[in-house]
Amino acid sequence: MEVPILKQGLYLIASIQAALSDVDLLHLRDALAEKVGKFRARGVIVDVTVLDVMDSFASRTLRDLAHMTRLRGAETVIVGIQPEVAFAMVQLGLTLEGVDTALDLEEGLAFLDKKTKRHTSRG
Amino acid sequence: MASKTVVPINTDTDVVAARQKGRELATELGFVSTDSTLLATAISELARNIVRYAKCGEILIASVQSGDRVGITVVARDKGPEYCQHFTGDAGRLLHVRWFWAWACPA
Amino acid sequence: MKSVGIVLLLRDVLARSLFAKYQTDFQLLNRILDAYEPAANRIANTVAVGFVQERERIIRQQQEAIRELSTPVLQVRERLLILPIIGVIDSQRARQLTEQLLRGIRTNRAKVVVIDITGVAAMDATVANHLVQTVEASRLLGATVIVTGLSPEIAQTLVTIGVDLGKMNTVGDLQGGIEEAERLLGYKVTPFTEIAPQHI
Repeated sequence: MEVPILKQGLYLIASIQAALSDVDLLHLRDALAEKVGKFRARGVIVDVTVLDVMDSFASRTLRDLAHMTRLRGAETVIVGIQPEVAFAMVQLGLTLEGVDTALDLEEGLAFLDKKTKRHTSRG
Repeated sequence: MASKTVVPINTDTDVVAARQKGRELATELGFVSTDSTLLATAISELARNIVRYAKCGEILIASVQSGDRVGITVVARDKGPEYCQHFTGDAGRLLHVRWFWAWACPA
Repeated sequence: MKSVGIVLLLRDVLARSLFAKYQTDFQLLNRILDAYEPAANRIANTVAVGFVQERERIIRQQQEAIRELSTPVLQVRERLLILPIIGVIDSQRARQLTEQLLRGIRTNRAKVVVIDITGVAAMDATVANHLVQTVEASRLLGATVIVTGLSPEIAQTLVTIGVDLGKMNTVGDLQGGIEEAERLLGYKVTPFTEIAPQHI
């Protein structure tokens, strides 16, 4: 299952639509890393609102993604982690350390604007 | 209300199936959503270990009862040693997670 | 001092209803709290004597009343939540509070949370761990947590379970925590008593 990646200005937005298998998640990671280079994106937002489980593999892959995009000059922010998912994650010691997080897409965009020092006004 | 499901684990899509089954059972037994998410996450970890290290195996998800406490037992079986995980709850309100990595299953 | 702990409970329950009533107008709330504070302190002083026997029963009653309050999480300002924790906290209550807080962060789109533990007498390692988990889980939802009212005993418990207090955002008291939160949110913090100079 391929995750749609949208380009919004200098940002890439990946909205996960359904539960992803490990292979799908790796594909997403690689696709985003590639597109960051291709479009010279400054920021990446991964929307995980739909994910009802975030386990060690997902955490590791998202951390890898953040690292890979940073090497190519883009900041990644994960948005939409559900309260129950966040709770389960911390209880199992999965903290997504070193990865920026925001509440939702709107906050994610504001965060990227601030981090990349852009002052675009958003509706 | 005894309930038991065995999910064969061969590929990573089976991992998703196993945790969804776990979540279904948890909801059926009245676990609150935070607890069923915790359960589903733990099942995901166990199932992935099977795929990663043993190539094939199965996940058994069963309801258990102890007095007025209802819980869920998850057993991950592969070609290697048996991993045994117990999740029990007071009708889903309080969840204790006890991990028994490669130990014998308590009765 | 043991007996003063009870009056803090009474005071905080009352303060909470004030919060609920005036939360939309922060200036007004501040004014009302300023008026209420000295009265509360007077109450604290007069009942500080001879309350010890009643302590256990009253704490239990208050705890029940507090448990019944559906939302211990208060929205005081836009994007700012306060979670005052009082009395004796057990593991189950701590979990409940965490769940309610996380849902509150999502519902209110909070960016900063002030967790006030002034009213918590003691905390064992399990509950201290819950506190740390709450801070970490809140971050995953994009919210910054400020912990206020950290007693030396609780600070010690946190250090014992391996928490790097340097990394935890702590401020002395609740008021200070709210001010710090406003700073983080970009509000200009003006003390209530300050009057803007009139230009003629």
